Amino acid sequence: MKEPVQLGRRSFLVGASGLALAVPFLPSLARAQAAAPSRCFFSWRIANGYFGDQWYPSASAMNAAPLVEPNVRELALSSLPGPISPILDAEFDPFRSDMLLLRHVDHLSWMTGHKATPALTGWCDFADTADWNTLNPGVDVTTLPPSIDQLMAKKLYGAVAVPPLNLSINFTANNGWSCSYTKGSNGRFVAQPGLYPHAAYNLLFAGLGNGGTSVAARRAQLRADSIDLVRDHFTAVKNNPALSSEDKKSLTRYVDEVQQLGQRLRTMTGGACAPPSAPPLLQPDEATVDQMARAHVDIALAAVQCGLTRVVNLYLDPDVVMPGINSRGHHSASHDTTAADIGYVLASHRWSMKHLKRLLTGLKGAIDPSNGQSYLHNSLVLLTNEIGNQSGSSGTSGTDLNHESYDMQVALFGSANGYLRPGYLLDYRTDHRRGRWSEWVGIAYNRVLITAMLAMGLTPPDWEVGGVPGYGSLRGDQYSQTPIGKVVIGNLRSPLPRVAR
Amino acid sequence: MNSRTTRLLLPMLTLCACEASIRTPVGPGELPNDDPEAPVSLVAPTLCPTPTLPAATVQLRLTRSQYLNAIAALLPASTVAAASAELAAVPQSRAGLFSSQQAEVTPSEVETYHAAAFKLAFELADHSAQLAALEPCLGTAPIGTACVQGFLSRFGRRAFRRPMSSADLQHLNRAFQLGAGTSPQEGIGAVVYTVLTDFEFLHRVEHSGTRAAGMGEVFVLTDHELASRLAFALWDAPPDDALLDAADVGLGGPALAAQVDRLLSHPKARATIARFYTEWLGVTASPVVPAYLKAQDPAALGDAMRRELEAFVTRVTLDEQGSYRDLMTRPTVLVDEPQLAALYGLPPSALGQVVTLPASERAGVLTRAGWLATAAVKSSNAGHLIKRGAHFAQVLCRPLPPPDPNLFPPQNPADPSTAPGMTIRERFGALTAQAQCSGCHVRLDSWGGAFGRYGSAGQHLDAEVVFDDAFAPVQSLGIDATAIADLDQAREPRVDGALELSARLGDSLSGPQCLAKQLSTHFSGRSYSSADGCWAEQAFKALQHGSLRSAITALLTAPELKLKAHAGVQP
Repeated sequence: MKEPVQLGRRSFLVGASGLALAVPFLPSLARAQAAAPSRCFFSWRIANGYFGDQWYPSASAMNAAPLVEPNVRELALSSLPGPISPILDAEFDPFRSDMLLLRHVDHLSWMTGHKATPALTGWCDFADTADWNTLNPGVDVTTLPPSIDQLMAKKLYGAVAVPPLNLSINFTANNGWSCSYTKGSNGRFVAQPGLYPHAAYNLLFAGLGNGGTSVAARRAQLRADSIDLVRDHFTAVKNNPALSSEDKKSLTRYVDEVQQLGQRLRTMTGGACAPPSAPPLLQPDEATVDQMARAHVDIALAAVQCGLTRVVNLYLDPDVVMPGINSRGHHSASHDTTAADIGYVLASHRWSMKHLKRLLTGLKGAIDPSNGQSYLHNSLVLLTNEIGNQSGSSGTSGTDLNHESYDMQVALFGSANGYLRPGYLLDYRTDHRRGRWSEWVGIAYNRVLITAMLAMGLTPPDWEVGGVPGYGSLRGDQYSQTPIGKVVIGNLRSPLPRVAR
Repeated sequence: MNSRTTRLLLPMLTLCACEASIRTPVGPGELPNDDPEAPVSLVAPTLCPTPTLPAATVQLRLTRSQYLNAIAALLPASTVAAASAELAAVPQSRAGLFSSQQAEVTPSEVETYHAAAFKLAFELADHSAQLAALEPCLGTAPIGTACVQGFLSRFGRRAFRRPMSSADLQHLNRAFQLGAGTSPQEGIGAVVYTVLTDFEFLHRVEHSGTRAAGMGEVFVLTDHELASRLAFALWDAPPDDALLDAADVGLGGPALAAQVDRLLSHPKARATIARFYTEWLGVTASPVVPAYLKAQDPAALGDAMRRELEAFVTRVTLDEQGSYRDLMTRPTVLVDEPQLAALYGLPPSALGQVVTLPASERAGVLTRAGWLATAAVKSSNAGHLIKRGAHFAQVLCRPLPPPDPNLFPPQNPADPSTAPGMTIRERFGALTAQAQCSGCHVRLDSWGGAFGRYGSAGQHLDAEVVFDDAFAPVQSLGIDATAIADLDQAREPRVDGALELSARLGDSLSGPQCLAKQLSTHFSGRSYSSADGCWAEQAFKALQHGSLRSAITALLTAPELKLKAHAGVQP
């Protein structure tokens, strides 16, 4: 690690623009210092489903969880003896008080198998519009909002101003997938490409040395300062007699909107940070994947602390050829039932959790100067899986359920600056059962996404279409025939029960 | 009632609801009372009965096309191409009939402008070849002070559409300094970003005029502000260097007329003129070709309909010096697509040439497929009577009152199964004969009925055909296209069909008056009011005695175009 570099506004002004230019900007400096504490959002996506008995506490511990309100069972994670689970092993003990582990969350989009789209959209993308319209009758899909990370970025500092950072490793393409989706001109979702570490580093930190700041940070600062010039220009002409009061009103509206954008941009440019070491140009293979994953975590941590972004999506695909496992990949193992395959799936998840733990450790160990709390306290880290619990009869692993999407793997870390109430396992199972193995029906996954948006300071008008409550699909999983009438949907403008303070 | 039914019924209910309006005292352009004996004039002979001060000027923001044209005029093509995704996101908003009538800016639009400006500015700063294309000396190293200062002066003039004062240059230098600490290229990027997000670039700000003597809060525009009005009116784009140069010298009478003529004669004027007509005529998108027509490529046919309409209005207006009557009656056509040629009954050899359509079937703009095409009527080849009537009312500038939901009928009369054996006109007539509907429908059904010999795809019909779900004919019904005209006066002689109605309109007062009003609305970006009457009158007179082009020229060379009035100005 390099020595921390101060990227504060004042050093930028001195370094890049000179003292003479600093004086007119002092009022805006004061505004920047008065900004609200930063909330950051990280999504951590896993693929190929999971086995519940590897992820959750033991059945006996789960069954002991008391019913604290209808369809909600609650267990303090601190009360569990030994590791939480085979995946959430002792290494996660320091994060028990930072974690909300959710159980029986059912995906309700009309999906089957591998789908990157629903994790942060609550919808399922299809090959063409005809399919989409058939599966979502009565819904104008072109009006649907983009994924929650895009909405958060827009709320925090204007999505088009600073888009979410998508970091991924994927063995099938140079630019990996991400679960971030914008809307295209035809109304369809457009997957935003993920960056490999080398590209992400170049985007964020290349050009270091110009006043101690990166190109991205420098230009964000420049934009904010430019906005001050637009305001000054308006001040200079607004008293011209030829401008009518109506003219002034119209122009003031524009200038005010611009000023607000400038304030959001300024939240990107303050604080201290330690830029990571430049990663080499690598393609994922057995020898490099661990190094690439570590680089991604380092970049994510530094990007947030350097004020370069506040929304990061990470997808570190365990289906690459991983050291010490095998050459078959996580996906193949997830469809098979031998003891070795079960072991491969467990190893894949533990590999992913190893890197998640690095991220959590970094966030917990760094102090956000905006409020003196740790970045983990101020953040929300949302762990999701594209597919649900693959454990079959008796809840045991090793039964191929063909990638159904009920009982999703969901965990929340951090508190979003005190919004969330971490430290618990919350089981949302109802008294109804479904499917081949008569598993419990739970609560709608859409509520997870709504919870995340509320935690990040969004309000329903930020995501709703035409004022209709809800986000995402409520059609039900076609493959597992989720009994939609039995799934708890509840208030689509409120967080999940008992997750918020 | 489902949403489709609601959409189909809405026009009819709209008209039912206008019963109330015809009981009120009438003025020019409004529907009269129904005294059977009284000869009632529907239009006044003039739009300017008494001189007034100009209407309050509206602060205009660049429309989407104006914004894109302004960007294209300022920056190298390679820079613009690199920002295509950001520029595509710039929305089209509209607050009235014309796209020039812009709504207030939204936060989302502000972000879009800034995202596009950021991409453009730093795409430029990061590529020396693009900088060289912007200004040759910017592509060389080192970039000298004189080069930067020359760029600031020229770029600022073109972006703000006026000469740069010393204060302006100081402002742009401050922008340059934001990036110059890194590199001169970064400084240029900072200037471009700052300018492209400035209110004076994104809005058509008129802040430099001088007070008109004795007229209170009325100001005389500077010649550069006038040049902007002309350029955006005729090119949908900022002034080019030639127009700015002319403004530097002064846009007095002959110079102004010469510039208007130059702008109108330039190819850039064609798209603007076409847009005006299509917005006025309500053809804002390519028509959707109904399935029963079994077109090989329905989308291509719909696009061709729209192109033909645009080609016709621009040809008559700009190339042929046509009159209002020519607009309504000239039967010439230029078709570039085989399906549309077949729909018009033209041989393939007619493609790409200006030819004359059958005189018994087609005349001016209101008999073009692009205008006639309506949403398909269920199980029928007929056009939608009420939508056509409402469309025609727009050609006369006779606005419709809002619908009264209490008057929704239980069944949709557009559906032939609701009254087998009756034509669409008969079905609507049976329902709208009731007293609370007939006041409006007696004319609007009639106007729609006059176009009864054209199907919902704009094809000429000999009979109205009802068909089954497989589009096999089930019934053939005769068409009654006789209609009340009531253009200038109530109880004018009836017409038989759209050809006669178009000819009557071509000779009317109400038709040219409406076009004059709409031209003034389009050019001013504000809703027409009586305070615009004396300005619009000049176009009206030109339309009565001259060409469409002369009407445009009259509006853009009128003294009123040089004035800016604040709201609340009293004569």
